[in-house]
Order: sequence, then C-alpha cells, then structure tokens
Amino acid sequence: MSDREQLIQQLLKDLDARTTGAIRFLAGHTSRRSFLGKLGVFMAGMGAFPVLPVLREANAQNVTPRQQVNGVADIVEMGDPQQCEYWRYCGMSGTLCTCCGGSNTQCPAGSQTATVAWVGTCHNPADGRDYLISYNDCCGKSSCGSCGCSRSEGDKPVYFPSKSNSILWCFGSTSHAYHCTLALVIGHGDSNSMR
Amino acid sequence: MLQRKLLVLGLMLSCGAANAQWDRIVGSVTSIGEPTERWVSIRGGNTAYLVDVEEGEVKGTLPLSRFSPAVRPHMTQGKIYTYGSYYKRDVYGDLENVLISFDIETASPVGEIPLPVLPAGIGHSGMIALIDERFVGIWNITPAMSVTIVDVINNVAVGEIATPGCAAVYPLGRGFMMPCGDGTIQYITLSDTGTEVSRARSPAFFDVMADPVFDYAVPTGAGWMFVSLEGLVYEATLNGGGVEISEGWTLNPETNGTKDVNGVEFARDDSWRIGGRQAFTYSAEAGLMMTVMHEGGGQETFEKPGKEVWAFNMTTKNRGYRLKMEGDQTVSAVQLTPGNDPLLLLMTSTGLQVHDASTGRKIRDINVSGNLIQNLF
Repeated sequence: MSDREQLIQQLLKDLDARTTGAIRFLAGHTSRRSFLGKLGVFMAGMGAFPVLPVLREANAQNVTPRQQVNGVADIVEMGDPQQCEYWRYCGMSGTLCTCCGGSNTQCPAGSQTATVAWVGTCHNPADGRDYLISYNDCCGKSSCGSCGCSRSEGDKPVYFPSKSNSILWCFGSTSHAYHCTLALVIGHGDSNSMR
Repeated sequence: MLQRKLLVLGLMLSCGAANAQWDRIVGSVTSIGEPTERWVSIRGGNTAYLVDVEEGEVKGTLPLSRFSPAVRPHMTQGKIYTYGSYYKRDVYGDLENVLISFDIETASPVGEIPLPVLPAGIGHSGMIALIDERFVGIWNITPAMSVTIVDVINNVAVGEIATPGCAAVYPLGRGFMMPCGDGTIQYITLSDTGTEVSRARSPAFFDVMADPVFDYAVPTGAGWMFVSLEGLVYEATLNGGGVEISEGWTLNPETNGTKDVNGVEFARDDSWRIGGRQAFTYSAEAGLMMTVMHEGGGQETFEKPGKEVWAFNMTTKNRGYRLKMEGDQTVSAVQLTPGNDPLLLLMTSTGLQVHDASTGRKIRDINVSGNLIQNLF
C-alpha cells in the first residue's frame, strides 16, 4: 500500500471514530423531542436566508464600485472624468455617463444598469499601476449623446465578446436601448490575465 | 345682358384653363421602378435609402427600427427583408422582435414574422443572411450566441441554432459560415426544413489575441473572403464536408527600398492599416479588391475611417492604385457593384461617391449619407 493510500485509510478511520463519538454524545445528552424541536428551528431559520442583505447585482439600479476586489481600495486618481483622455477610458467606446447625470459607477437616473460588460486594462498614471476596468452600459433611455468617446484599446471583433465594444451591452436590463457607459475599476491589471 | 353672361362664361373658362397648369392639392404616390444591378441600399439613421448609383438618384426609402443593422434583398421574391426590435414606448415598454418584408416596387411593408430570440441589433450586412433563397438567418447575442432560422417560403420561424463563440451569418449553399473566437471558420449545414444537419470547422488559421479577422466578410463566389486586422487576406471555401482556408497574402508588404521599373523607390506605406465600418470589398467578376486604409494606430483602430482607398488586382495580388480623399474628408465604407465593369462606391464623411473602379476616376457625388452600402443583386 502506498503512502497516499495509507493516509486515506487513516483519515477514514479517524472520521468514523469522530462521527460515532459525536452521535453517541448526542444520544446520551438529548431527548428525541428536544432534538426534533431544535431541528425544526434550524429548518425554519433557513427560510430567512434569502432576505438577508446580500449583493444582488441583477436587481440593483446602481452599480457600486467593487473596489475591494483584488485589494483595489482608495486608488489614487487624477484627471477629468468628463474627458475622453481620462485614464479609465482606454477601452471606452460610447457616451460617458459622467456627462449625462451619472458617474463612472452610477447610471443616470431613470436608466438601468447592464449586468454583463466588456473589460479593458488601463494604466493609471497617478500611481503607475494597471487596473481592470469594467465598461457597463446604462440602458432603457434614448442615447445621451454628450461626451462621445472611442479609444477602443484592446477592442476585438464581436465573436470575442468580452473584449468587443461593438456589442449592445444591455444584457440584464429590460430594454436594450443604449444610454451611456460606466467605467468601474474591478481589480489590479497585474493580478488578472484578461488583457 | 347676353354680353355680360358671355363675359362671365369666358372668364370661368379662362380660369379653368389657367388652373390646369397647377398640381392637384393632394399629391399622388409614385412606385419605385425596376431595380437594376446598379441599385444599392444605404442604411442611414433608421432608414434604408434605395439608390440608383448609375443615375445618381434616391429612388425610395424603407423605414427601419433603431435595432436594424442591415437589409437582406430577395430579388426573386421582389422583396427586401430586415429585422427590427420595437419597444412600445420607443426605448422602453413591451418588446416585439420581427422579421419584416418590404415589397420593392411600392417600398411598403407586406409581411411580418415574429422572432423567438432577441437579435443582436448591431453590426453590418453579416448579421442577416438569405440562405439558398429559402431561409433568412439572423445572428443573436443574449449574450449566448445563436442564429435564428426563418423559412421565408412558409413564413415561419423554424428555430434557433446555438453557435457558441461564433458570430455573423455568411450563406453558402444550404448552410452558412461564421468566424469563431478559436481562430476557425464554422460551417453549419441546414436541412430542407431549416434545422441543423451537421457542422464542421476549418483548422485554426488566426490567433484572436495576436491578429483576429474582421467579423465582416465579403462573398467570393466559391466562398467568403476574411481579412485580418493586420491585413492578411484569406478565402474560406467548402471541400466535401470540411472548411478549407487559403494561404493568406498581405495587403501591405514591405516597401522599404522597393523600386519601380524606372528605379524610383515606392513611397513607404508600412504604417498604413485597413479599417472602417465596411473596410473591404471584392468583385470576382472584375478581379478587383478594394480596401479602406488609414495611417498609424494599433489593431484597435479597425473601425476607424480611412484617408485612402487601395485597389488590388486579384490576379497578381498587386496594388493597382491609391485613391486619396480630399482635404479632411474620410471614407468609412467601400462597395463594388456587380458585373464585369463595376462601379466603386465610397461612403465618405460628406456623402456617397461613385467612381470608376478600374481607374479610380470620380464620376459623381450623391447626396445621401449612411454607414452601410449593400448591393440589391
């Protein structure tokens, strides 16, 4: 028997012994009625899980920046988010939501956020690092039209959708009428392989 | 008294004669006439303009939805198909996705077929195809990719074919080709009823990260021409049950130091790139290929309008001439009309231009703008 098989055999024996011990302890210290009561409370409590305050992006009207992903918090930024030259817009193609009553993380009032997006990797000159940017479209209103921007770095044809800005990225909203585009920082570029 | 009556009568008659030169107060409606091989569709805004480029006239228009990227003529039926997505309140509310047919002679809608899947709503002529005169194929992305097949003989949507990682619909025989993210061309064969019979893939011939092909392609007669963002030209054809890819050739080989027969060096053009909304066209009958070119930039400029159009002789694969745009003018789309002596059509920033394809000589401007030029035949 190999070392690996011996280890597995030992693990199974230990698991058996601990499970048997736990069941004997439970039987020795708990009446049947008391056990059933506790089981009922546990099962009823499971029903409350869906109403706990967890993130539901699909239903959210405003996307909040996931700045904790990959440790992206408190990034140092410079530049005008209403200008196409702003560092987050290296892969942008569309209308800047910052010129339409929204921001880079929130869609303008009355529009809806798409839950699927294309991504780019942009260089932040203020700290010299690369960041993964998610370009989420805001949809359900006619095109805002202000501040058009088409830098399109890394753009690919539509059969490679995650890097294609030609697609109408309104998936997840009730209308695919394009309004404008967000630019969310979702991670460090050097810790991702999605360049 | 009699004289007065005769005078009034004379005045009334003269008024009637004078009025005969005016139009009726209610205008009449014209029909569109008989299209020729030199009629094209120009998609501009939410309208398709039907243009006779020989005469230089707009002959009629078709109303499209904001999500209709292209039209698809079916000349043997005398119809033009397009798909549209319509919200009840223009940009929100209940949604209807339909394939619409227009009668060409009257430029009026004559039929609708509901579509089961939301179409892509973007792109170019490759998003809607006429397959073997019987089926219309429509590319969808939801973001799962698929093709909806509609039987336009029996006027019914047959179903949806899943095409993960592959885009557009380029018809060939009773089936269609599509470029895929793994560097291949896929071919799907349809049955008599429009269901999938089989699918085949070419060997991988491009790397999507290094040098992908445009998702736009043009017909060669035997297959389809695909061009990479770095300017390599390929032809995809069928061979038995498989898909074959020709050896690629480049649009801009090194010209450093190359001299003509008089010993004069060619101007350097190594930094010129192919790009545009409709970046190339090909005529098998005339043996010509045209490309929209701009100078500088990386691969991401593949949709950028150009400052020149290059013409290639497809027998030698050599460039015949470079057509330069005037001043600040740019060109975003290029098309050749059918036949042995085609016209070269350019959609420029100032409107449609018609040129002689063999010489590049400009023939006329037509006052119509848009982003896609499609032949009706």
